[in-house]
Amino acid sequence: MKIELKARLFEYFKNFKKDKFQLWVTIYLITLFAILVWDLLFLNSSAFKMLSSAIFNTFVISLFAVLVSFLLGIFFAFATEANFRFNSVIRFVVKFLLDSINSIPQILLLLSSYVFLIIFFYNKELAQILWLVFSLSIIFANDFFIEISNRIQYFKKNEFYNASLVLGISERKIIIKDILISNSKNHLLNRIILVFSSMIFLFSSVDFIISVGLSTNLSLAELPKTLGNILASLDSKQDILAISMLIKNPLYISEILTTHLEGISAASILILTLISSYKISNSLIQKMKLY
Amino acid sequence: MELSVKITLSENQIIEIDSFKLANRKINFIFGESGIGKTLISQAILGILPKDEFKIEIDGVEYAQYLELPGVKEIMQKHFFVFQEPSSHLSQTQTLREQISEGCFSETPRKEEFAKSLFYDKSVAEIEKLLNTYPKSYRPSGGEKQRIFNLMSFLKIQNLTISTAWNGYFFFDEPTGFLDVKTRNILIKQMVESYIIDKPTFLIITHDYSIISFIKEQFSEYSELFSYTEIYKDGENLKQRTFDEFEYLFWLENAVKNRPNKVKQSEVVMELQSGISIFGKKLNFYRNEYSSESTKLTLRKGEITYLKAASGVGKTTIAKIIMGLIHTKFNMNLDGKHITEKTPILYFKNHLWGKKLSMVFQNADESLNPKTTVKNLFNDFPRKIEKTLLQNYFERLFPKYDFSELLDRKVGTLSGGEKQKINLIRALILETEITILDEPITGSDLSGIKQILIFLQEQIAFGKSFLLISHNEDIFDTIVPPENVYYLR
Repeated sequence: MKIELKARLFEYFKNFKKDKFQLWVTIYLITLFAILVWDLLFLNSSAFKMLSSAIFNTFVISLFAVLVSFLLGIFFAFATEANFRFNSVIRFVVKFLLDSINSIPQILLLLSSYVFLIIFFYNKELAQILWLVFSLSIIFANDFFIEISNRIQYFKKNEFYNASLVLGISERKIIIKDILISNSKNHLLNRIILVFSSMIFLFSSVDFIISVGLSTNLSLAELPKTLGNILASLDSKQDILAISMLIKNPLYISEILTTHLEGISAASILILTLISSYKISNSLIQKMKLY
Repeated sequence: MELSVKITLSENQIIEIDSFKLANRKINFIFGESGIGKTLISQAILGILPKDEFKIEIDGVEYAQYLELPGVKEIMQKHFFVFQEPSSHLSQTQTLREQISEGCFSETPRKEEFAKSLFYDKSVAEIEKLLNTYPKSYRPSGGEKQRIFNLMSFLKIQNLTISTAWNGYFFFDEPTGFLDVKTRNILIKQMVESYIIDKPTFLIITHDYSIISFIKEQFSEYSELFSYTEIYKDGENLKQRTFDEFEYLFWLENAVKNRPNKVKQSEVVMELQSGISIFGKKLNFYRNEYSSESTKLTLRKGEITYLKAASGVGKTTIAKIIMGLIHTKFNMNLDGKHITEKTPILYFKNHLWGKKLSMVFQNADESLNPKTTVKNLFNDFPRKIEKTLLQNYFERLFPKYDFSELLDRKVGTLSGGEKQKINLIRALILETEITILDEPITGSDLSGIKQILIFLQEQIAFGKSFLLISHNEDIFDTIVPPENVYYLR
């Protein structure tokens, strides 16, 4: 049994050389786990509790927002690409809305959505989270819409779309089963990875901007704890500034890794997630030949 | 030349042949189902497959080493390969003239002569105009692109003959796939004439068995120059056997003798008026090749109607207009209902597709989702297909296969002939009144073709109506009465 496990592990690690996707997923998960274990050992319990709930909130809100924007993307793509599902007026309205959203810079859209958040949902935490998810989803739904539309358009030119249609097979089934599930799942997975990392970056950036004081109406205490607002706290800023001490005294590294953990961990997790997502996505493209 | 070739495409996809034979300085015809590996084997031998993409062994030698062998280096320098899908091999940024004049083609003689011969249907001015166009903006038809590539191969033959005493290898992969019978015959004639002068080694991969009849008729005195073989699947491996051309000709002759020559004059199920305007052309139907009086295309119950035309005229376009997939001005009576360009597409969706009309598309590979299983191809039909009915259809076209095993196979692992038979079953199992067959024997070998013909004849006897579009005239003339043949111009 032990020998078999050893052989399996050996095979798994050996595979890293040709499977960079597997390599980067493993690097990401192991490093994330290592940071959390390190924090558990060296960070005080209230700070650890705050950091872990920030990680949880950031990831869950982003994942939930990815899911909603994916579903919105599918709806938009259906509304514009499926010939028999929607009439031309709905198609025009959807296209107009998407183009309008597309024309506004993402960060402006998210900042303005925070204004709505303060006006309408002040002190209602669940409503705040739902609004956050919705505004993030609207911003990224266009990414999914473009990917899904491109896939549908590509396969519409392929003869199997018409060949299935003239046999009386429903267009909805052709698009969902044949085009999206069986021929585009890797493309969509890759898009999900990219949108997830962009979502985390945008979400944390806006959270950071608000937290450092661009908004006078909103205080940190009223928003769910996230990596962005942890980074904006005074303690975290000091933690990150402490890195400069390494120039004068390289041995200060032991202090940084044990006493300045809050800010360093939040920043590391964000950077790790962004770099890993980029690498995971690139290696998935290579592995599945998505180009 | 006799070689063993093994190409590992993926863990589960291996193409292996123990003995691939090529008669030196002969015109080798290789027949067989599409998608079983004929193209990859011939490209591997010529050394034009990418080294890193697949694991390749030739005669037990790794591909990288094989490419370094002295004989192979010479082959790589003195060969020409005509690809079956020429679209991706023409440069978009050069005119066709520039492409047939660059590099080794620049000083080649007889360029004009070859061009005139291959584009026999165009005037000198039209050929000039065609050669001065860029592929991207002009979009030459499949037949035109194929003629350009064949022209390049003839220039290369000339070129090698001038520069060396050794004539090289010329591989043509489905060189006539996009050509009508007349152009195909001119091409074959040109090929044989080039061969007789320069004597290189030709390999022609094709499914067009009717080439044999033409060669027998035109070049009977040169029969020793031709070699006919067939590649087939034997379990997991491929094998090559001699193809008996006389047996084929005998079968053809008998089939024509037994053909029903009188039509039943049963009720009309579809009428399509002449004068369809599309892409700046007006398309008309004629009862014979040289007639000037157009007529309407009529389909009768329990009969097969054959629509013939030169390549690129618009046979497939007509099929797509009937199916409502191309929008243009037309007039059609179908089962008592008058259908025009004003008929909403929803009418086709709700009342015709899969109910009264079905269609088999010409491109077998593209007509099915390659990532799904054969079983799933029958899951989403407008009505539930009983397993016993499905088994019945499969047994007719796949008599030697295990039905359950075949249902579980991934579509991507099937050969082109197998795929086209499945396309045929999909279109026929719905028992629609009319089925349009656009090149229904694409990719099939001779035994597959015979099975399809018998199956179609049974369906006709049951009262099914077919509109047939195919350039395999020799073969389909064996089942279509001459009275049911129309010409499209």
